Amino acid sequence: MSFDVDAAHGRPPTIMEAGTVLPPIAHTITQAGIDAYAEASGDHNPIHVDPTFATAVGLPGTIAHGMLSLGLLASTVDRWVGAWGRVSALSCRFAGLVRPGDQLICRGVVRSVSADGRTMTLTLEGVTGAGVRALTHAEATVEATAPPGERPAGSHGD
Amino acid sequence: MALNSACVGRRYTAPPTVIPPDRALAFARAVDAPTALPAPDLGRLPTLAAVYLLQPVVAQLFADREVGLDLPRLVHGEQAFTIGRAPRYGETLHPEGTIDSIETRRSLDVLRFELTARDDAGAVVTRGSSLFVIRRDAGGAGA
Repeated sequence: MSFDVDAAHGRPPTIMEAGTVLPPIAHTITQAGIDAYAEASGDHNPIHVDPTFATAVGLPGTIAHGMLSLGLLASTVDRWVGAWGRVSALSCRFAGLVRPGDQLICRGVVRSVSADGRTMTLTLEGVTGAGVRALTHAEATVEATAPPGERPAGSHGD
Repeated sequence: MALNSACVGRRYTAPPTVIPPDRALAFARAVDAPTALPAPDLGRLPTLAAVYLLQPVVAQLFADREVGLDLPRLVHGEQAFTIGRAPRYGETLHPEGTIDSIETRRSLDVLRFELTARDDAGAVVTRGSSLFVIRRDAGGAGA
């Protein structure tokens, strides 16, 4: 089973079938972005927002929330599949630190597509531009919400 | 100090909660998600419900001195979610969390925390499973 992802903005379609490597999307991590996530999520742990505190507890400085990185990974999946479906399950291991100034590069491969074409599983990872494997053992399940027969029409992101 | 394994099974609840559109919009912007105005599609923010609804429950866990979490040494090791359905704006949701297990592995304490948000009818909207690791022999790390 496969899908045509009708990429927006004139980009060529991507066939999504088991083994398809999805186009990586990079997210820039900034302290302002971390602060905004802290405010939106309610997680004000000072290791994320207070450089002095972060250093005092042995960190190299503030670090992004693991859940911010996972949220960015989820948004990447959303860009790949668009309104065709929604993430119904998501998991990962937080294996490395993501810091202000890093790029978090989200990658994915289609692991399987159900016989009825309504469910996809993706294997994912998040790696910083410096090569730190920040999100490992990551997986997502995407369930179709579009009518049967309709193909994903997501964007590759911009 | 090792974690208190007698706390396994301890349950925490947070007050009934609704997701305000402005908070959803701020969250969507923070995670680089679609930001339709005036309110993003909650079905396209899979981590919002878990984070926003369950954060107060996690905060209770962290504040529970009997459990003994040493926050500067705590690392958020793993996270999993399942989303039963997208929450709706205006609906009241009921978050709760339970300490599922506490284990000691060499110099680490490992606590698994199971989280659930249900609607008024008791149906599960989202579930989360968080693995927190506390390093007993090193400085803090955290996530």
